Amino acid sequence: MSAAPVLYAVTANRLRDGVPIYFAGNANWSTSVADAVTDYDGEALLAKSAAGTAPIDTIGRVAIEVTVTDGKVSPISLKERIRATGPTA
Amino acid sequence: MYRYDEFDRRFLDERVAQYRDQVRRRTIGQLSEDEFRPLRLRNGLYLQLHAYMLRIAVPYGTLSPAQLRMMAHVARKYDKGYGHFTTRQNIQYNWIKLEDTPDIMADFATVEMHSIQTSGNCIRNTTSDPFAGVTADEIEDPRPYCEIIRQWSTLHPEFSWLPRKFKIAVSASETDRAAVHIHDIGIYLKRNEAGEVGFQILIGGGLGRTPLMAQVLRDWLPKEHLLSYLEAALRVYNEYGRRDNIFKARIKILVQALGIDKMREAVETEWARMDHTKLDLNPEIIASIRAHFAPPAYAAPAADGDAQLNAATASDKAFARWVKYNVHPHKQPGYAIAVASLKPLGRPPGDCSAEQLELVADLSEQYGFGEVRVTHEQNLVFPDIRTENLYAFYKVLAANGMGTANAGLASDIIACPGLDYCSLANARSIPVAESLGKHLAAREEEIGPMKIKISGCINACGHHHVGHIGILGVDKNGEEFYQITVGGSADENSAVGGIVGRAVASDQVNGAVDKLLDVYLKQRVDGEDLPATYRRIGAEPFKEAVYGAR
Repeated sequence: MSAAPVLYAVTANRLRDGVPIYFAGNANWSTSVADAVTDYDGEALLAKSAAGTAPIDTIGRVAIEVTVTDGKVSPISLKERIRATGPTA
Repeated sequence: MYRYDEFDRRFLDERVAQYRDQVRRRTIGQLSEDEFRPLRLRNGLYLQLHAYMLRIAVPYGTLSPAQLRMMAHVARKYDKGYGHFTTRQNIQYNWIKLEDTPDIMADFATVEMHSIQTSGNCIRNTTSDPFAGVTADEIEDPRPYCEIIRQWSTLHPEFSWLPRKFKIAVSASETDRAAVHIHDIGIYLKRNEAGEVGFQILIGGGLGRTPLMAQVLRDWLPKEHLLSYLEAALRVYNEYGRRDNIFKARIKILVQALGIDKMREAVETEWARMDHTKLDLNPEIIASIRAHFAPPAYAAPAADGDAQLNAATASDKAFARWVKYNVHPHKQPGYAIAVASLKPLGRPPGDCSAEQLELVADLSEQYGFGEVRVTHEQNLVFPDIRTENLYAFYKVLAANGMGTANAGLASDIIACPGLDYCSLANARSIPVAESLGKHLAAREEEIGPMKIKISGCINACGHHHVGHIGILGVDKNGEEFYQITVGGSADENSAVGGIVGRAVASDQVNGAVDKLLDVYLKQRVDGEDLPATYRRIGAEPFKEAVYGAR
């Protein structure tokens, strides 16, 4: 049985304030993970996120695993969920 | 307190201007992140999960009212209204914008503070006994020597690119309130057989992946040789410390590999070879630094000071409990050392709001001599409170969330920021500390002195290895689990705790700790602390209590 395909989004930190941002397509970035575009090909999505984005605006671009349920994008790892929604305490 | 001279001020102003230009060049793309990252880290600026985190050094944990008010100003203007005191006696701000950092550094420079060497492979902030200068049991005030080390180690050209970070702590007395044994170099003030005060030098302590306790490098060192001897030790480390593997780069690994005897031989050889004359401390230098730490103008004890205190403790049980746990004897009759707890139940350990910081500044002036200490246990110390003023002082603290009577008890938990903030963490620390503190509060007086320490990853910023009960967050297939250790200690009887067994889920931590404490209370003899019980009965009863008989 083959493993279920993994969906990816691309995230980074915004240079000027360090806030987590998510690639929203067409050289746009959003502070909300809900706006993230997703793709089963993380590398391709990472490449797309670089196009048209000024390199000084983002730090540490990386593809992260996500799920999409009822259209809502949610990171899989706890670290990325906390990063997306803020401290729990 | 030590006050900057003209050289210090000019240096700091130049450094701020230099950093401001670095930020400017980064934001217009003249510097890449790879180029800028080491520069910002040299200035204590990290990128964490939600924002930049700025760490400001509090040299040997000593603060003035002006510095506290500046901390409040920065918290309010540039952050979310609070700061977080750390186990290195520093303060961190979790919600900083890069574009604000030059102004923040300029603001701190006006009160003689900075963030230099709070990151990077250099000599970090020297920590010390928060009761320095006022405790009845001290050999001598360690702060002048901490200041001497601070001046020597700041931008030391030979030690700015060490194999790894390097931490030094100095204890005032044989009773260790500075966790000396977990430092790269730990220093005890010590008298020799002739009664002269000098230093015992320990080397090779540290936590992290390989927790090791420091060993005695030199049993007694005359005061004048402090810097030359430290320089010799750092030179040996700089030359032989491993640079090929970050996990084996701390001096503890070198000491472990060489053995303490060969390490001592190497340091002594270097020390004998080097020119001491530029570093040896003549009595005039020591006296000039010591003058900055001269005792304040203590007044004679009030005739009815003790009577007032006794009447207050008799009428107010909460105050009586606070006096029992948060007040310590002062070497000056009529005065006391008071601990303001930053561990209110259910709140993040070590957090302090702008309003609280300002209040602490006000209280230090109203009830003391304008000085406050930060402890490595993430609390604040007021070193000079007159006995007859303790009740009024306590009432203000209690009304403002800093009067919890838990200093040294089970709810006085050390915790790192963990996965709620830190990009290195594997699991959350703060929610575990909040939950466990509340859970244990009802029985903490029965338990007695108890050190519980929580880290969100193996880097051990929460000192979990040396907790009487230590809790380490681990990631198991994306889930948070917590490995529990027992029997550790960070005092003069330092020890690394033993792992109880397999890690437990977060909702099982409180129950597991309960079982460990049940064993301790049942087996405790003559009021011994948990590490003593652990040494006496071994690990098995604790393991059996948590996991059942095997």
